[in-house]
Amino acid sequence: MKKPVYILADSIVTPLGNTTEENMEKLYNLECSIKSETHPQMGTVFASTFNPDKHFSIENPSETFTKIERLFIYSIEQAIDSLNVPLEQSKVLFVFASTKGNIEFLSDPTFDSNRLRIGIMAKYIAAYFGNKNNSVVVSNACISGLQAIQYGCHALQSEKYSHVIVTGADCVSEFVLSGFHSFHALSSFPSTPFDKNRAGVSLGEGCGTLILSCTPTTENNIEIRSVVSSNDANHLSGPSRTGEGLASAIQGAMNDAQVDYKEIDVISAHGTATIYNDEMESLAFKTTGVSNAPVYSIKGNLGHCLGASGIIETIVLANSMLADTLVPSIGFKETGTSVTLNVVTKSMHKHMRVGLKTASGFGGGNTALILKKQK
Amino acid sequence: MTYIISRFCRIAAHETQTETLRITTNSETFILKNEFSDLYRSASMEYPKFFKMDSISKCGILASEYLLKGIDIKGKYSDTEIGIVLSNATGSLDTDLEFQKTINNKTSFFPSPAIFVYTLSNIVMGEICIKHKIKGENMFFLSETFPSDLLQEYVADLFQTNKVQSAIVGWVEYSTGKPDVLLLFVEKTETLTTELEFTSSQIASLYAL
Repeated sequence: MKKPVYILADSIVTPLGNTTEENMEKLYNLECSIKSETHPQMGTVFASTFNPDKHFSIENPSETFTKIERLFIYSIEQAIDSLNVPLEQSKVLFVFASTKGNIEFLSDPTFDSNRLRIGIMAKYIAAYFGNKNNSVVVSNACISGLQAIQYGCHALQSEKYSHVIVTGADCVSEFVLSGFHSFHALSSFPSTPFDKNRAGVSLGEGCGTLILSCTPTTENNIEIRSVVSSNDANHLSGPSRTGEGLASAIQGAMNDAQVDYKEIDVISAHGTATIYNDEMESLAFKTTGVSNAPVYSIKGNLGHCLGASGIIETIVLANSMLADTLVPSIGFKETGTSVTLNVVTKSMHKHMRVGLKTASGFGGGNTALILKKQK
Repeated sequence: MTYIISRFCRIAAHETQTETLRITTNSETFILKNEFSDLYRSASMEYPKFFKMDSISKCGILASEYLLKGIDIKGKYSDTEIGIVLSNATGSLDTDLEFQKTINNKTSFFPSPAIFVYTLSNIVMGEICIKHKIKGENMFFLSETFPSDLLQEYVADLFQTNKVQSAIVGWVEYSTGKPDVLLLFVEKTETLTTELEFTSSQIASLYAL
């Protein structure tokens, strides 16, 4: 029998807010950190980015860390500080998620090119915390964050570690912006998931960190019941037209969690606000019987934080379940998917026991994760 | 229940003959020029999309062809029963550098969508999934060295928790013009006979070929 895995502590650091609490409050209030920027070649682009002078003040800034490395450390320190039990680093595993790491330095000849490898970047960060275990790095496009949690649960169940720190970050760079721009995938206004007039994705940056353990510290710790992945085997850069792959992951996660579709109280969708992604998700929700559940996406507030998004969104889902308060989906006015979804338009009280989080990404990957309250 | 490596394919630079690669499968070993056109011919596949792929995806697709040549995995397993767990050290860095060239020059700024799609570590896995219609669990790890323990433990757990009935497992690395690939096809069996057992040391010794 698998041992249950609980969320003991978390941290979200985004341009919207410096802590989980600050992000939650602003999400409930429909605030958005996506702004327009002017790029000399691409023109006006919308993205959620930290102020250039934003300083992530870390406890021991003796080494020279890059922006994303400081962001990781800042968020991990925050999560550890909020944990009410001491960590013994020899019993702690770090699991990292990132799609592009230090990519902004790719054309900088003065930059230590080893650090362009996300595995090496991860080693520096784990070493900062005095952790000597072999960190695990997951890089599977936009499902990286949920898959890092999937790996974290596996590692805890192997009973080699007392705690797993799952952390994911990505930063907005010219590299990624220009790539999405070349795909004509960027929205010309802050993205509006599931809305009829949605016109593409907005990119974002940020970090989310979870501290997981099989030993709960309070009866309020949310349980990660299951995480299941699948592949569309259909197209590299576009989602399947049928939602079959995502549906298979959702069904697998419900089976694994021993949860019936009627028990799903809320869905935190991938909701990138591209025409095809949101449509595909609506089909998958219908196939699996969950399309009546309240659903939202926070990518209209924070942008798409790529490898970090699954972790940030899982933290938001867990906290909203604890507060029994639904998170609204910003920018949604009118149904824009062939399956009508129950999109949340304003924050409201709802008793929630079971939550579903989904993600899909380039390369055809899909992941579904189910959270459950203990009581 | 025991897990076995029913097939494998290793592609690595030849130790003494530079410009050539040694390809080892469970049934044969051969040496080829380090040219994708030569490798493509030797795999005797017809897959025009191959020529649009980046180098690392070409490596992965070729190895998957050698790996699964002549066996009917679909006769034994449904699409979602087959998983895939891959890893490498440099992610998509080789292709990242190619894409960067299209945005470096500000007077001729033409980011290429055809290259950009390959600037993610896991795209080689996506290509293998498309080619062989693999729809089960998928995972991509980045590791500085060949992670035999990580692969073995994670994949064995996928089997034990019934998430997969078979899996393609391995390492697909491409940097400085050299492929470095090991793919395994892992299945389960009631009793071990002559097969290679799916253990960390066995995986490591196949990587050492």
